[in-house]
Amino acid sequence: MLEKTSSQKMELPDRAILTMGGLSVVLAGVLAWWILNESQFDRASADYRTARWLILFAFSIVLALFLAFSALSIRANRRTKRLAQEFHKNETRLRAVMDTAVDGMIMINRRGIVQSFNHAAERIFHYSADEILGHSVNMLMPEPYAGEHDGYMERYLRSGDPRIIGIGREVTAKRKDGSIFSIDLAVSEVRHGEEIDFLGIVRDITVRKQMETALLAAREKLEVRVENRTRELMAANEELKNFAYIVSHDLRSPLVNLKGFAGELSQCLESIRPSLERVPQLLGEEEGGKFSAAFEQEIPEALTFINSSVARMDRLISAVLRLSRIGRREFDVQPVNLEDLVNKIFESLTHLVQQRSVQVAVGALPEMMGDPIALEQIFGNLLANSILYLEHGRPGKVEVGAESNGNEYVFHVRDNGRGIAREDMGKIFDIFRRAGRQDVPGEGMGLAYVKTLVLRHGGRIWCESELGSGTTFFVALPKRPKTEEEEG
Amino acid sequence: MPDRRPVTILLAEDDEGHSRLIEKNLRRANITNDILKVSDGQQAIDFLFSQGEYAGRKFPSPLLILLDLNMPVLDGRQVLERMKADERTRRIPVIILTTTEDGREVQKCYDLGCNIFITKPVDYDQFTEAVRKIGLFISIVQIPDAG
Repeated sequence: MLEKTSSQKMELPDRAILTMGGLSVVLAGVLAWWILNESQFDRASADYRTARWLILFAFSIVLALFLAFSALSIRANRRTKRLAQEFHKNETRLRAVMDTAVDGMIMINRRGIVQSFNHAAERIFHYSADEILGHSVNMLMPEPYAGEHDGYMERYLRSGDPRIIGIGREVTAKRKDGSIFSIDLAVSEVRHGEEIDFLGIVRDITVRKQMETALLAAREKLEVRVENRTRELMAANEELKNFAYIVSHDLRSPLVNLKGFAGELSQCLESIRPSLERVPQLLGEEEGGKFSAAFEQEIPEALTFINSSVARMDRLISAVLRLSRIGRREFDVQPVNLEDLVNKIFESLTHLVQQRSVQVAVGALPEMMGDPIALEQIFGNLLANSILYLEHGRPGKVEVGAESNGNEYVFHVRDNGRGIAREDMGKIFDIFRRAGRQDVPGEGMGLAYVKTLVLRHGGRIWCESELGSGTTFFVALPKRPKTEEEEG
Repeated sequence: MPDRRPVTILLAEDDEGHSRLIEKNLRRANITNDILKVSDGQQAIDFLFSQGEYAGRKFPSPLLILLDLNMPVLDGRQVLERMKADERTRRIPVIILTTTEDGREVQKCYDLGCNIFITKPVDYDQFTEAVRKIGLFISIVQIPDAG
């Protein structure tokens, strides 16, 4: 499956041949000696002696040469064997690597003929190695690349200008059944002497491609959805902001009339009072009494109620208007020193603090990014509340502190005041809701403002309280508030 | 300045009650000038540019306008915009009298060229007082004659 060439075998003289060679040399020597002895030479002659020495000499030289040759060939043989073993080991390793590789590996020669084709390549292209070895690699490419490939290779070999060598890139490939798919292809050249091969490493990225396409489509869909939703939310938000504003504005108009004409009515009554005062006398006792009661009590009482209700309605509308303005105002985020801010608020409350002899403690407070007006309103309301709702007859204590908690600061405003009943805890942040003894004037809007401001700041507010012994408000604010754009 | 002609007041106000209350209080402040009333912005424009039901009738001069902002058809701001863009009407003093107290609205109206911006107080005593002061103001202010 892997290599087309048959495995190489070294043809070298082995031990048997060497042994036979040695024996022949010895036999030749012995034979020469025997022939010399059997010959008719005069043993005492100088010729005989000379011949004997020559034979001995020649034999020694041949023997020495043979031994040297034997030693060299044994060494060479051993080395060759070792090399062959190593070669075999390397090849086995290489095959193992290639065949266990997840990526397809295709080796081609300079003419584009496939030299090796690993298991992964078989899986990827659905060809078996036998089907592809010895054929042009063009088989694995769709048109027009198949037609152009020979040209690319030729140009590269001539000019050294690479299109793909050394660079991984996404290309299209063709399976046995003709289907086209995407692969990642990296090509490197393998030079050995004058020869040059190319190794292509191939990874099927069909699934990745499909996922990419699906992901892209999903992302586009999601983007559209997010965009639509954001637009809807922004419109709803804008509508809500305008709603409170329009409502409070339009509700005011009729109030001007109510109050105005109630005033006109009072003035009217005043202007005819001298005449009216004379009427009961003209009417007799019973009807006169009724007239007096209506004129002196009921009509003024009705007008008083109209006036006080209108005034209250006006205060409520103003409160809603203010809340809507808080929602509309652009935040101007900048560094704010909370300790300075809280101390300033306490200064502005000095009169109250002294009047109620409140003991104030301000812990170390951070400098953070925020809208100074919003922060001032948040802490202004909380601190004023803590003092206003202290228990009468008990020395008041108000403590402000902060802790760093991850990417937020958690502030607390703790008092030893009258506390909030458990059943009232849910409503204290609602607009127009007030809990407990109603002995402090207000519209029930303070904590609603605070909550709105804290939320706009990207923070949270909650409270712990025990009726009769004190309340702690917690405000968690991000160290760096998000801008509205980031939220959107 | 005995030779000055008395100012006519155009009251553009969609709420009849408001209109009536303003008129009453101006009268109380001894304003005896003619007060003409229109109940939406379009009528105000028709009056000023002698069109529609006011075709062929040139508006009386000198003229001062008490203009409400929230009116149907054309609102006060649009009326103001058109007046200030036209040579014939741009010198007519405009007092805006409205329930709005939104700072941006106030700024916008002054940018457009209104002369005075007054928020209608809900409290009737304050309302009366405000209109009375407008009356005082009207009685002393020098108003250009459109000729």
